[in-house]
Amino acid sequence: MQNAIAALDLCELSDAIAHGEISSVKATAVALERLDLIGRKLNAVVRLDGPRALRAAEAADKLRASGALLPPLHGVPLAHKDLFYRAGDLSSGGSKIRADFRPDVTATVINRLDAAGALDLGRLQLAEFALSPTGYNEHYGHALNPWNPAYVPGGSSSGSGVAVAARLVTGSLGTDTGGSLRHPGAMCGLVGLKPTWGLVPTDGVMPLSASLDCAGPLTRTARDAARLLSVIADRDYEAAIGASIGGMTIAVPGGYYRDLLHPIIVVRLEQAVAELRGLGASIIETAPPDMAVVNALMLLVMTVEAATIHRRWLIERPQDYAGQIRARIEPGLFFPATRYVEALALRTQITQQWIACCMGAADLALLPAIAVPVPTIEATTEGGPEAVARIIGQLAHCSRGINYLGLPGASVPCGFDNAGLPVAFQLVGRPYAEADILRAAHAYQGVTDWHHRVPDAAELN
Amino acid sequence: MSRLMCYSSASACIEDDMSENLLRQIAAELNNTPGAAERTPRMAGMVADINARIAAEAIRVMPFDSSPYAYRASLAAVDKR
Repeated sequence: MQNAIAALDLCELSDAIAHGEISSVKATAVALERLDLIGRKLNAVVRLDGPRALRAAEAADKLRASGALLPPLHGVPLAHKDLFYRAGDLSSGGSKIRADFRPDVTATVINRLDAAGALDLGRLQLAEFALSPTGYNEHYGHALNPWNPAYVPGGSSSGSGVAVAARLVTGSLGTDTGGSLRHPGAMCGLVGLKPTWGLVPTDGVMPLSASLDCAGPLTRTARDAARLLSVIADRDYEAAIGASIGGMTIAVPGGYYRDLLHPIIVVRLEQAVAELRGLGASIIETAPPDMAVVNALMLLVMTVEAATIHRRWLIERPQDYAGQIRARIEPGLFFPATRYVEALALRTQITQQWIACCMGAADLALLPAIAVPVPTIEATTEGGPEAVARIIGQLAHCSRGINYLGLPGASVPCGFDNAGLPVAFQLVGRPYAEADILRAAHAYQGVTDWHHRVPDAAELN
Repeated sequence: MSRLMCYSSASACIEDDMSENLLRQIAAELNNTPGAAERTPRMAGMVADINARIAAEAIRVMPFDSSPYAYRASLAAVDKR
């Protein structure tokens, strides 16, 4: 029974609780036990509040028994990246510096999940201050990829990716400033959806770079992502998710987006494109603009905004940052204010240029989520700063520019590499095209079974 | 100090005169982050490259009638909700 509950995805579990087939108390107890045993083994858990969650689950079951109209996530246990504030609860942001921080506000997205009936079991591991595409955390240790614990799970929303892939919870909120939802999505075999910048409120979420930060869901399926996004964005993304993608045009940009591609990634992307074509989508090839400029703009905005909010601690507690993290913030201290204003002022026209070049008349663009196979933890921690910077650059090659552009994007699992680690493509749309992205991802998952594969670490096999 | 005055009065100057010493002064004197000042050598190349790319792009394509706040308005204009 426990394994059967853990195997359900978010919509299946939500529907089973709503129909009284599974009690919220039972689902919550299973999730808490798995987070405590498997989650801690994979270093995915920061803290759990079991008693509070079980009290809320009992209340949810009583409400269902009363015959009341139930909200969309009624009684569904979830856990989130440790950046999302709940008033009075610890929120460390994966850092030593904020280890004892207790906010006095609750994030709007957490309030929206509460109102939708979801249960909040606790907080999950992440990269220090959400600043690593691998999930690197020198203070609290690496979260481990459930497909192989020698490999990185992707970050910065590492614990969220691990917990959903290992079937500890059915969904988790993360954040994405340069790929932090799409990286763990791609590396753990999940849908990681970065919404259009500004669509989902980020108040009460520990900031990294206000102009780039986005909060979004990590789930196993596109339908699950649609359900969570509907709640946190307060719009409906489920209604049209089952519509055909026949007639949809998907652009596949070459050039920069093919530069670093590993042969196995090429094979998986070609297979995914063939599946989408088989579903009735038209595929066109396009060419991106000068991505060196886009990446420079993204890095300038991110480092300047991060250095601004971190400057006090860079003065008072520089030793409490991991060297790798501090090295990613400090460049922001050096740029002139004129460059920063230029970077913001150029954003609209650079975005329009990217859409014109990469998408043309297409509805979506299909990019690699990550151009190279998932690296080992050793490969991302051994060696000097240059070696680490090189691998960070490789992992974020296809993701970080999208944050400067503010466009929605999602990782969609499309197979495995030679080492048995997940491979994913990335669907990117025009602003507010989340429904199109989810519709295409849902159609693709309807004819593939990658999202049904279960890692051994989930202990369900 | 003359380099700092140059930095604050004319940003184009920084492309011509970027040096580790200048960056060290910016970190130590303008941002009060002496630790960062000590680490400038490893950042100088990246800072110079990003700065030069954006400075050139802005001169090339940024219209006079531009605003750092226009992006949010452009998103709102295409939101069909």
